Amino acid sequence: MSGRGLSELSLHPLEKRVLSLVLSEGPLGYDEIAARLSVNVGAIAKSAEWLVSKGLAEASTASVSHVVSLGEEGLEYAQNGLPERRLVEALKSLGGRASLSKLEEAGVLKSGELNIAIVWAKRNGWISVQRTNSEVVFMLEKVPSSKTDEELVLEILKRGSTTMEDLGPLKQACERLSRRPGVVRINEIVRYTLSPTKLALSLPQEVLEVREEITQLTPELLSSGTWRQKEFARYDIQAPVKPVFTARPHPLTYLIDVIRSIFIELGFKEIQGPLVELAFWNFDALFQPQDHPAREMHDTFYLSEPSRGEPPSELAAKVGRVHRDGGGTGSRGWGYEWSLDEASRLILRTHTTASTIRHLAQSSERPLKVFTIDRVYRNERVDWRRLAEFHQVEGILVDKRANLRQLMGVIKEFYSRMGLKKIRFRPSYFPYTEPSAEVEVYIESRGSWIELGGMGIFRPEVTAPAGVKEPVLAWGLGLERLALLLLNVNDARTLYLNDLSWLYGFHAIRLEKMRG
Amino acid sequence: MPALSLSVERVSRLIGRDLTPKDVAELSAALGLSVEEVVENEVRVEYNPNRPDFGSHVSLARYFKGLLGLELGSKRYTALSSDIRVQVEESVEKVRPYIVCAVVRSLNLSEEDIADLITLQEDLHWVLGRDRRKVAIGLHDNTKVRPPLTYKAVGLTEISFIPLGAYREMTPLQILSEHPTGRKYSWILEGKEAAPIILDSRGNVLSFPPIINGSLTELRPQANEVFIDVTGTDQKAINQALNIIVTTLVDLGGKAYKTLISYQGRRRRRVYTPDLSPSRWVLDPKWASSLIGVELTSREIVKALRRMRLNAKARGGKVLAEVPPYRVDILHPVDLVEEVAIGLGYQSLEPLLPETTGEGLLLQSTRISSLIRVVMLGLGFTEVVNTTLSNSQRDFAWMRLKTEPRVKILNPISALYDSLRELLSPGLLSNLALNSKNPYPQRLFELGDVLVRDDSLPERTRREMHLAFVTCHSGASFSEVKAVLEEILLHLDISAGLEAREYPFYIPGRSAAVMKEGVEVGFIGEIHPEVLENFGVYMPVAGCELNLRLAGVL
Repeated sequence: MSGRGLSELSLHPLEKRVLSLVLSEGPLGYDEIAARLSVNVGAIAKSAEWLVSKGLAEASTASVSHVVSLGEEGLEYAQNGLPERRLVEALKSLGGRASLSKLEEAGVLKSGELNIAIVWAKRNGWISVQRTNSEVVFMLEKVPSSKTDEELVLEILKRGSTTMEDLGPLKQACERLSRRPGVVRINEIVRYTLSPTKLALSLPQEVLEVREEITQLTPELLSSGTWRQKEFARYDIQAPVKPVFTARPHPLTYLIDVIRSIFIELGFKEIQGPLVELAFWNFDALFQPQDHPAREMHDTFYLSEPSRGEPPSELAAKVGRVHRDGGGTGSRGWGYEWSLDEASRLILRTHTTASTIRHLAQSSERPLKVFTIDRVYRNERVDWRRLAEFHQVEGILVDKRANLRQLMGVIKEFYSRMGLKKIRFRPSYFPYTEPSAEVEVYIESRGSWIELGGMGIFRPEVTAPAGVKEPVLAWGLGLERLALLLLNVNDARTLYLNDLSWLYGFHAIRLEKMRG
Repeated sequence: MPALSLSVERVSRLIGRDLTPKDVAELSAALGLSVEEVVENEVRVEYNPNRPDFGSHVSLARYFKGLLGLELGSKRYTALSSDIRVQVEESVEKVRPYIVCAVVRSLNLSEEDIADLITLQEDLHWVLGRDRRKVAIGLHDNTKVRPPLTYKAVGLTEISFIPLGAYREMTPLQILSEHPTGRKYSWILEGKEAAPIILDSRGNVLSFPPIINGSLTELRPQANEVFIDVTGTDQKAINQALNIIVTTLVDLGGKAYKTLISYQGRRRRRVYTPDLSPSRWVLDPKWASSLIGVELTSREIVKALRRMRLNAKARGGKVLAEVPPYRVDILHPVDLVEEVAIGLGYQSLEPLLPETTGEGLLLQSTRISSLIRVVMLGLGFTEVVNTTLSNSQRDFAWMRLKTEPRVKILNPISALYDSLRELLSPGLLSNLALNSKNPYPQRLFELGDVLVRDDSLPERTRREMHLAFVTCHSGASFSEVKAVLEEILLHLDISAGLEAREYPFYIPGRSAAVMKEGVEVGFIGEIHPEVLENFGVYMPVAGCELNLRLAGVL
């Protein structure tokens, strides 16, 4: 209390009430204080503890009592009788004499209980044991007619717990039971008495004045100003609270927005194409021959309904000639008879390049910089690394000065803005680009290079029929693969499960920090 | 993609220089192969299907030598003349019309060489041959072959011989139904009444293409001479396959010999195969430089092409290039531009940000989607993203709808999908079922496309954006979602009202149509308990779905 005047002493309203009570009534037990103040004993004990720590009260042990209740075994005994009782009853029904194996057969006692029963029945003098050469035989000596003390204790405890002190003469029996494992539980309960100290007696009256306590500040308290006469109840700031969750955007949507913003910053315009596509735009216009493995049933989803669409006839004729013999583009073509019907088939697009070639064939804007982030489909069995439906980040840049190094430049810039600075290119192949490249990004956390997408310059066989004279830089990057790396997910299917525990665990902040 | 397991030791021997696994991996990547794994002295690579000439140690060694500067330009491959004739009867025209052959002598094939050849053959079957349908290759010990040969079609039980992997004579019919290889490839001859057969002058069967060879001419280690037959449905493709095999054998030290293929009957003509002459191309250095983005002289281009094992020379401001017969991927001069770029090395090309200007602009639908997302998040709904690929059982039967999907898939590999979604709500119910162990209340929304039939469009379908949301907890009710809907309508400036209407998936008397100017633009209600049972959701759900185009938002 040094350094602080008694009048400044800060007491919780309950502490004030407790202290006032013992000051006027003298030492009292906690339960009595609790009853007088209509507050639960736990709260009183806590207040008392504070008063003791502040030097205003002393707690002394008033009494110790022992609460007895049934243990796991005890519950069973109370229900079915003590094992030794069941043993003698069984012996009696077997004619007062039985071998161990007979007793086991009788099945009145579980194997673990039999030994216990024998020990206690022998100790009580209820049975005797004879050993012959071949076996052990038990003889009934006496059947106790009335209930034993132990049995009486169990009967009492069956109705509810009690104290050792209340058991009176049965106390010894209870103690005997307590030595048998799991039969009774005895908990010691200490009762305290709280008495005021000299310091408390010298307290100025105003310190103990109890003002009304505010649990919740209300508009009425504010408008009347009466809060001034009251005290605020103090909170336990460590007490657990019910969790709240903010509604969240899906991580993929968040990531798509990030990527969109990068391409917008780089001066690209967003476009969108159909999900159900003509084989013509997905394959033929991209110089993919009609017997190309990628067009097979096990890679591409074809539609049964509707099954055919209508390719643009003029362009289709030009594309057909290019496939056949190069159609005057300087190419040798694939050298086969091209079929319009095959090009009319409806599929789920296998890449977003179907949308960029569509746009390219229809737009005369030069230079042209467009991008799309959208869904594509592959007819694959789904597993942890492959999805049947996923997203691509696609773009083209059309300019008469465009070249391979610039294509690498765009991709490097994109990944660098995603926070992936270490990047390399290697030659690759796509039927519609030449030169072609694959981009690999170094992932620090995995210590390895990961392939993240393909790119190239559209072939003349692709651009010439569409009437495009300038080089077209094109790329298609996998979104999910990038998402798995950035979100630290191992199974691609997780992205589309929409498990709330996963959605709530998404930290956009980490992604933004990583981007730098 | 075809895969190869490269033995670093064999590559080193073929090149005549000790390489480490890392060297082999780096050379492979520089060439455009994808390096999958490096395990001790093996480098596992995959190559793109446009380069069937990458399919063996021998051919890759050829390119590695170029990249290392050990050998530049191309070897001049020639085939010497011989008197070996192959007579092609008219009967094969409807079964398997084309054949080309060659002989390579002066070899001494090791076990490794033969293993390499078989890998190459298998990859060619896949890449050029479309699983043997278009191209099938037979390799034989030429010392067991007695020319002239005959290629003809015979009845399925007309002939019998001992095929590879068997110990008794079998007819073509028996092979197709009993022999494991026969069973595997019998689909190619399905519906054909006859079997294509290659016989020698003594009537011995060399091959029953595209199924299996005879055991008599089996190629064994230490073989000195190889006879090659390639049959198929595409003259160009079988020539390409033959050239790749023959040049590989020449690289192993062999000498190639021509055969005369003589077609009988209506198709009467005579062809000498193989034709190993290179094709000639002209490349404009200025164009090549501008596409790559590096100013290159003709000499530099010639040097890069020669590193890629092409013969090239500068003449009159142009570069003349010769493409060897195994390169099947060169269709246009632009393909040579890529050769130049790879010859320079992609790693040496400095990425450069283009100066091409452009105006960043988002689609209106993107901007409006972002706005809607903000509204939904503000209302306390968490976003989910489901696939458009869908299952009609779930979307219709579980929803108690009697109708059928309108956009159906012909050939799904997985039974999970058979159609494209027309509503978002079934997906949301699936999400709730999956989240049954997570705390409630659960409030979810999805903003995404559904597919609609539209025969006025060339692709006969249209994507339309819907907004759907659900609330799921013990007190979920119509009034809760109605309040949310009213706030959305207000926020998105949609003047629409509710009109009592029943839907199979909602509880009768607790649902409504969202009506705008007499048009139903959505629906709202409490989900029918039978629907909840179907999805496995044991908590009340109320929800709503809006078509944003009909609502006039998009």
